[in-house]
Amino acid sequence: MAVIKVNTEQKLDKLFAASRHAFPELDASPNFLPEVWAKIEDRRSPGWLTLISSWSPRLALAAGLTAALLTTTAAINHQKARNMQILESSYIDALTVSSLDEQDGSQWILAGVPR
Amino acid sequence: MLVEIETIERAQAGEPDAFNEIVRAYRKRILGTIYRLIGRSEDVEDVSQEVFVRLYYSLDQLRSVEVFEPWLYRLTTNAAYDYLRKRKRGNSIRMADLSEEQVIAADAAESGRRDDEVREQTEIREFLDVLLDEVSEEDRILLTLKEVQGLSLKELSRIYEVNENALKVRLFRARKRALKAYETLKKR
Repeated sequence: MAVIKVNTEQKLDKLFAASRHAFPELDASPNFLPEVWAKIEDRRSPGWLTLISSWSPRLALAAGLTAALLTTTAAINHQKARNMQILESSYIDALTVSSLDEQDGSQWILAGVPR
Repeated sequence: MLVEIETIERAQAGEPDAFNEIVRAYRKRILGTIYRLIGRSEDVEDVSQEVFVRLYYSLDQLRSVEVFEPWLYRLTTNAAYDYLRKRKRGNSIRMADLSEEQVIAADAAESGRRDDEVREQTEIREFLDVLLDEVSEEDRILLTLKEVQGLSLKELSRIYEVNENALKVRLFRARKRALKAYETLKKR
């Protein structure tokens, strides 16, 4: 068994040694370099994409700032609208709301009292 | 190195002429290595061009110009590895499915008019391809670089970025698997 293994090892070594000289030198075709450049150009991303990717950190910052500004503006407007609503409410409206609150409260208190 | 350090630096700076100089200087070496790694002459040029495309797009990642050659070798082995994996996935008729005699007969028919030496070389290449198709792509590349291309352990350790002892272990295991494949092929 060991002899067979040694024999196989020798054959493998022989194959490797022979294969060192079994590959003829290849010459590149005349189009080798132009084809390399064509492949480079094919893989190059379009100009606008390159521009966007180079500007992306700045664009992200600008987008973040715009989002923060819009959120703040929206919050301020919302608060303003609420204040305006309160100011614009009529006395009757305010009274109705107040009486409803009181009524609800009394009902709530009464609900807790055992009959 | 086959080019001046300055040429590599100019290519890194985006000078097309410098890049062309690198391609002209290294294309023959890359073609030879790719041929040994993939074993099929019809795809050698395409895979070699892929190496240079990858080189173009990754030149700016090269930290030190002094390690350009091992780095180019790494790009070469990676391109060969991708090709071999693709080939294994999409192989319609694999040479490994044929017996050694069938391979030799097919080859002999193809190269009927060639002289003995050329025919013998073709047979060796074909059989090596059949044998190495039986092991993993990683083993194939490592064995080819060491045993067929004749790179030293020192050169391999620079390409693989591992120490020589670790490489010896990998080589030993790869060789063992190749031996097993050889015995199996011989039994067919």
